[in-house]
Amino acid sequence: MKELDRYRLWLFLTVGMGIATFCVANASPGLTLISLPLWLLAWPASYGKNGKPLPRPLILALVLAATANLIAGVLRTPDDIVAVVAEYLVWLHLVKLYDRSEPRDQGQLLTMSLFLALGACLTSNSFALALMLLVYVPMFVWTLMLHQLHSGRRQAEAGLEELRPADRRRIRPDAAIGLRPQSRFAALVAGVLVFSFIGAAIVFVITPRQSMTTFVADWSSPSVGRVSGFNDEVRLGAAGLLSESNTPVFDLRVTNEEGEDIGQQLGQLRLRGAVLDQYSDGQWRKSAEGARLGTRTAAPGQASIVSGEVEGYPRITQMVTFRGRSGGPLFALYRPLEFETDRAREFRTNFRDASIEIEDSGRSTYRIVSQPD
Amino acid sequence: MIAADPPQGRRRIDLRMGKVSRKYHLGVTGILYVGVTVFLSFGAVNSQNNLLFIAFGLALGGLLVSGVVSGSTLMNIEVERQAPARGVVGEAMVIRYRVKNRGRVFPAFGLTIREVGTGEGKGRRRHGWRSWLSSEPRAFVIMAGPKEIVHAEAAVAPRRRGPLRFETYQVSTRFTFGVVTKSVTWKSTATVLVHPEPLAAPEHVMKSAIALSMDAWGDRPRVGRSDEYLGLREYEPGDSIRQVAWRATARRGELVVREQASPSPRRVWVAVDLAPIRSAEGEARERLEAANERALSLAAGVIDRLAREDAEVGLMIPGSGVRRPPAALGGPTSGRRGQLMDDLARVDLELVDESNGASALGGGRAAWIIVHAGSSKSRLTAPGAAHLRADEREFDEIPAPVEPPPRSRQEEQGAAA
Repeated sequence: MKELDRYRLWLFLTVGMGIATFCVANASPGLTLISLPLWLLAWPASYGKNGKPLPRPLILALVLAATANLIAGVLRTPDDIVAVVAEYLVWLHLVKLYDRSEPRDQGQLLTMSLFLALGACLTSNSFALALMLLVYVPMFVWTLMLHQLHSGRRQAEAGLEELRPADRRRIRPDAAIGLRPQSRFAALVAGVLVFSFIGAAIVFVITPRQSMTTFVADWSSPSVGRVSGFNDEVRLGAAGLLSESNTPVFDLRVTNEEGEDIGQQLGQLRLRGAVLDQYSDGQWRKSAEGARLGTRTAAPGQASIVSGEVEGYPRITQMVTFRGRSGGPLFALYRPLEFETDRAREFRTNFRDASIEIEDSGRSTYRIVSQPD
Repeated sequence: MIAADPPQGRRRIDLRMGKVSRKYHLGVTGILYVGVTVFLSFGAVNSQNNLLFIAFGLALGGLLVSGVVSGSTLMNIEVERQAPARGVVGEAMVIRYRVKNRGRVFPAFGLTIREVGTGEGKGRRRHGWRSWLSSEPRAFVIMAGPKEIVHAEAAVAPRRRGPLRFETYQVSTRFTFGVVTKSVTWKSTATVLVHPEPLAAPEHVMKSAIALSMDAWGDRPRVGRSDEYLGLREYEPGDSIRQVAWRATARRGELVVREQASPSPRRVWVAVDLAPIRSAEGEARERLEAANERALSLAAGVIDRLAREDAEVGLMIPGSGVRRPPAALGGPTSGRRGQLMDDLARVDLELVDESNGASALGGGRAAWIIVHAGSSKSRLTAPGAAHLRADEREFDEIPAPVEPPPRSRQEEQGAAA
């Protein structure tokens, strides 16, 4: 079976593809420029037939250096632990390629390659990554199945080492092979891939999404799967995956001056609310001025004026009902003129940017009138 | 005493009789795989990342496919062990496995066949294969297509002589992804009689031993009709004119004729003087066992050496019940040589009886070569015998002090009786 003899080449290509996939996901030119040439060089230098593995002390030193780099990376960017660990895996891959290559080592390479691909999935969800994965997954499955045959054959061969050389030559551990192994192997790999993808599609469709989010939220890693939302602080520069949250936050009904619902006409709506106006140390925060807003009390059924009205512009009324929220800014489509709450509560306004904050928590409803500038 | 008889020839397995058990093993790799799959599921649900959902689905699908494909394939596999009847210590012994895939659709990939169990159950302590072999016999089938039969080979080198028993063999596969190991186990006994490794003594020692034993009996070539030249003698009436040696006749001035040697084979007894080990303990016992094994190996080497001399060889191991009169040796594994090697292989040192051993050998028109197990004090003697000692250091030849006795017709007849 020719492909079995080419197993090492397939493993080498799979490892390279895994590294390239992560480089695409991580969008790190530096890592790409270093790792891919090193991977390519491993074939003639060490991994290929004529190559020689590096001395064990040097391998150990390289692993220690990569581990030190991992620790430094975790301390430097604790929120980006997935990318740091995946980068560590890239270095381990490269070191392993320059090490000896027994079936056990090859199995470790394959396992690390799989984890690297998972790291790529956690780092990015770009289209380019999906294309890379489309190539990587069949290649990985092909190599993994070849690995099972290769390691089994090597184990059988290991038993022959105690025989005399003349006897050893007479035994053919790979002689037990039927007809057309190559094509049958390829067909089996194709079948496995098809069934696996069907299984993946079924799982993709039937796995509950929103209902389980809260169940696992408590155990979630802070940097694994960040979800969009509202916060008083925004930190810039952190890498990682940002997932869109589909959880409904509030219900909104938009009407014109005649009381007609115009929500459909407006199409996609963009709301304004909180203003983070101070930037320092890579973070946007609310300024101290914003914190010194005047506090007033809104009475139910009585409109509280926030800013002055400009003649000639339409008045848009928005009815907002929050679903379980603990205070914070109110949102409007345009500059708010006045607002009215369903019950008495304290609020603060900033007349400079026309922002409104309420102190209350829990489900609340308010009506706000805005006017486009 | 001789151990139980081994089976002659290949032994086919009746699958209906053998116990078959099927198992799934979730090893470290499998646990790791399941752990990663669970982790993926949490990661996917928590982050709502579509790629992770697909990765989780692939992991789950892969697990199912791996179990279904290889598990169902293994259900259709039939394996039959074809163990050899005999083996030799130190030489490759090939155990063949006939593998048949009864399935109609799926080919079976990556089947590992290995002997399992120690074979050292109650009352079988001395027959378990693990004490005979340094590694377990293991064969590998890359692929057996639907309805195909392939033969896999496991080669081992026995390190002990005697009846080597195999009891259980297992077919397993980690294909497709190495996550779960599926196995089917058959229970079927086969015994291989392992011959001692022929130990060749130095050629000069062997030559002198053979010559000594032959000379002791005056086993000189006699007149006969072979092609071998024996000598010249005076012409006698009745001699064929073709026998006349004309040059010698011209030199001597009288008719002389050539005499040819007799083609009659040499007859040699090989006796093995084993040291009883029953009463010995500890290191002494181990030393005696090693010396006995070495003596048996040396006896095998002597038999092989005598085969090159075209001698008729007999074997006697006092105290063990082995006594085979001299006869022509056959091929290397069959015939007389095979019988003698079987006898050497079957000797159970535990059962060697000191009291039953003859101390004075002899009789019959044959030479004697006696192989002693280490001790220079010969327990066995025979008129005109050549003595070889096999100890841990080197081979030694013990001078034979006994003069050859005069041969008489009566004595020969008495010995034969």
